[in-house]
Amino acid sequence: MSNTSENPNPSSSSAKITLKTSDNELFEVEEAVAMKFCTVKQYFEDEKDNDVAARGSSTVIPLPNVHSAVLARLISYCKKLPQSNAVADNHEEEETKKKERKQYGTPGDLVDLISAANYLDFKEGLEFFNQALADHIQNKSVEYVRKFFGIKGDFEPHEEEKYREEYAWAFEGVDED
Amino acid sequence: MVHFPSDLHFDIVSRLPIKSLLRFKCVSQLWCNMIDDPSLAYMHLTRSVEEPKMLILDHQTKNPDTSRFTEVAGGFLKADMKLVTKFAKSKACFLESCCNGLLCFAKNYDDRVLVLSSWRPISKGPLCLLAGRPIFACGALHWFVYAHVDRDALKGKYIVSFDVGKEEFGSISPPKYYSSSHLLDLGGNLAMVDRSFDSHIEIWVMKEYKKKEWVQEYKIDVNPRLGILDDFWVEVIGLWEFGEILLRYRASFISYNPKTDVKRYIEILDLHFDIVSRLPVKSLLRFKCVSQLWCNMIDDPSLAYMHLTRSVEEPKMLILDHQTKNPDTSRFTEVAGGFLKADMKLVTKFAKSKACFLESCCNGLLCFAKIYGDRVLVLFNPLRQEVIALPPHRASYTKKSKYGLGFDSSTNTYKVVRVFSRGGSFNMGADVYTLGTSSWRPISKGPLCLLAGRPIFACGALHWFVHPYVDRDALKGKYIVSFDVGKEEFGWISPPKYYSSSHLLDLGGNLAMVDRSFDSHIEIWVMKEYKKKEWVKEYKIDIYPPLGISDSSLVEVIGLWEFGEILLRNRESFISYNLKTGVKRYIEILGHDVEVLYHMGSLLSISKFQTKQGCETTLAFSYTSKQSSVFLHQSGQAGLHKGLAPLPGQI
Repeated sequence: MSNTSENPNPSSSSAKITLKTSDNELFEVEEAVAMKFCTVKQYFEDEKDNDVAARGSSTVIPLPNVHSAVLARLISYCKKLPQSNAVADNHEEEETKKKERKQYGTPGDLVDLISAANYLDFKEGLEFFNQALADHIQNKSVEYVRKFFGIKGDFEPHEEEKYREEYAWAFEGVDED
Repeated sequence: MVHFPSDLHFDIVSRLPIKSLLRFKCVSQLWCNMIDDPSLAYMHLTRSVEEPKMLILDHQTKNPDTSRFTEVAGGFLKADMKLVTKFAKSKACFLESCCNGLLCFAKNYDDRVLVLSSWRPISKGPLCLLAGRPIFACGALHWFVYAHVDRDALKGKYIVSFDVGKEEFGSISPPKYYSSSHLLDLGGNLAMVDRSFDSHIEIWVMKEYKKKEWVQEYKIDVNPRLGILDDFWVEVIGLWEFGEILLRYRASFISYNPKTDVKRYIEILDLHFDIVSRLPVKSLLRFKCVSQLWCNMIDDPSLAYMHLTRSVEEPKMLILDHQTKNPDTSRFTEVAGGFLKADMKLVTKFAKSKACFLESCCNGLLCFAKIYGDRVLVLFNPLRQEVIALPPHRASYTKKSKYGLGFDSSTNTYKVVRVFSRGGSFNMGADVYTLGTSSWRPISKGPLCLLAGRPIFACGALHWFVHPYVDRDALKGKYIVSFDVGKEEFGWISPPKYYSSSHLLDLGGNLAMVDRSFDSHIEIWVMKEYKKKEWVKEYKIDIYPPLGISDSSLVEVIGLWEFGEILLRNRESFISYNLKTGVKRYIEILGHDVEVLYHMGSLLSISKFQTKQGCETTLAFSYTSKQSSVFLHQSGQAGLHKGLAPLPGQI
């Protein structure tokens, strides 16, 4: 998955692509970075006849569903990609990865990053941020999850009580909100 | 029969909603032509027959072609983008504009595809660069000017309009400076959402378009009432049923009734499924209480199978307590130090017998047989505290059958194989039960010979040692019998050594064999690459002196668990041995009659597979299909949509 960084191709690594966000900010990014976003990559596949390098930064690709603040973070994540995607094969590495995911931002930021990564069809990013959000809510209370996702509890009190009794062990050791 | 002049038909038909009209195209050719007539469509538009709906545009659909357009509960319509992307020959299509039920897309990045037939230039273009998607209202299109246009030069004329009838550009002053605003169509009027406040948003509406006067119509408290922390991310989608306003905040949708001040959350689950599949079972069982939709999602077998492939669960040790005196409320508990403890009470109660024998376990499910009368088989998911009975198999032979529970990852099904002797050590038969079906199926070939002990499930197959009574010379080294759960075929594997004092186990997902033929140590052989069937001697554990065990043949290796330790059992004592550091720790497990098993928890709700007379397995399947329409779509966009009768030849 990190072909582009392992085998840097001098001609393509210098090529820049300009992305335009929903708030009309322009981002000039390296082609290798932009190609991680399949939605952007699709443009080049649609345009096979045209030479990408020749068009280069003269092409502005609009990303109407992505805010500049979010795109900036996605790009910085992209640049870190190679080292952060080593396969964790033991407990310690998994812990390090967990810490890394934790540092990535507030849960609210993660929601924006996930929405943007989903729109951009940025698979590694979606994987990473989804996992980060999963890590975050893993030990949270039911009330926290409702608030976080904007969900209204729609169980009758007795129905909810039934689940709480049935799976009492799952309600132990829950973090403070 | 009622006879109407056909022009009366026209009038009546124009009052029907599109859903009815599309159905009535089948009435006759005349009706079909009438319904496809553009003049009907225009008349239909003036009548405002359609209720405002919300349209979900699904960009990443996996639906079959037959469900390209569906009505979703709660006022939503859902359309695939497939038709558009296919037509445009590009997956990257961008919604440029929408008006009265038609959507206009441009192929991303090459907007020439949009070119219809011939464009006419008009004499005057707009004032300046435009931003975003235009809003059509009151016969004109409206854009905000581009953010980087010099503000002073505009003198307040921040909205550019285009009168579609006169084909002229004009400008409108918004009620306020627009930097954090967005425009929308609110019930046919042009409206602007002001998001510059912390605790609320304001919606300004231009009630009388000719006068160009803005009225502050709505003020919606978003914080704390709607639980929105940053109103900058709020988008107002539109006015729809019951006079409610649909708001989008990040990934959640809220429908707000300004009259009654009631809000309701609308779940358009898209990314939740993926995030949820990464949570451990413990969290998910807690989150069943979040809402009914979450509860259904968590109970859906497809989530359980996805969950399994993600390897979310940490390996744990499960203590099965056969003689518990615990009250019913603590049938399942987490014990300090990576242990789970489950009562057998639920199983024994269900089987109506205290003598239940653990036949096999696989991926978090346990399979028990009643010791006296082994046609009664029960499946147990200890984490979910669910027990179901499997349908009884046909005949029972005099000798006790052996059962193996396995998982076929190619079809996501659990299967139970029953092995029985037809008389003699080499005349074996077998049948298979697939979870979710109603009966056992015989399979053509049974195993090589009589089997011993509890099978080990690893790498998609079940494994047994052959029975010690079987003539060893006749086997020629084929001492391990395997059963491929997917192919439903028996095979055999040669162990690295003769097996008399060995036992098999699942060591971190691999098949392993413990050699206990030495006095001072045990050896663990692991089959790292299952296809190659090559054994590697992976571990050598000194049991005397470091572990102080005098007889290695009684040592049982239970499995690999947290911190890379191996749990060993020596009679009634348990020792966790760290392979890297060589550190051992003794673990005390209370209880007289306990079994300790390596356990990877399963999310699967097996009660969904309970076979009932009459409704049988359809229960599980209808359940899945019912759910899929609610949340199995990804990457949805919601927008206000008013329908319009189809225009013939519009493409």
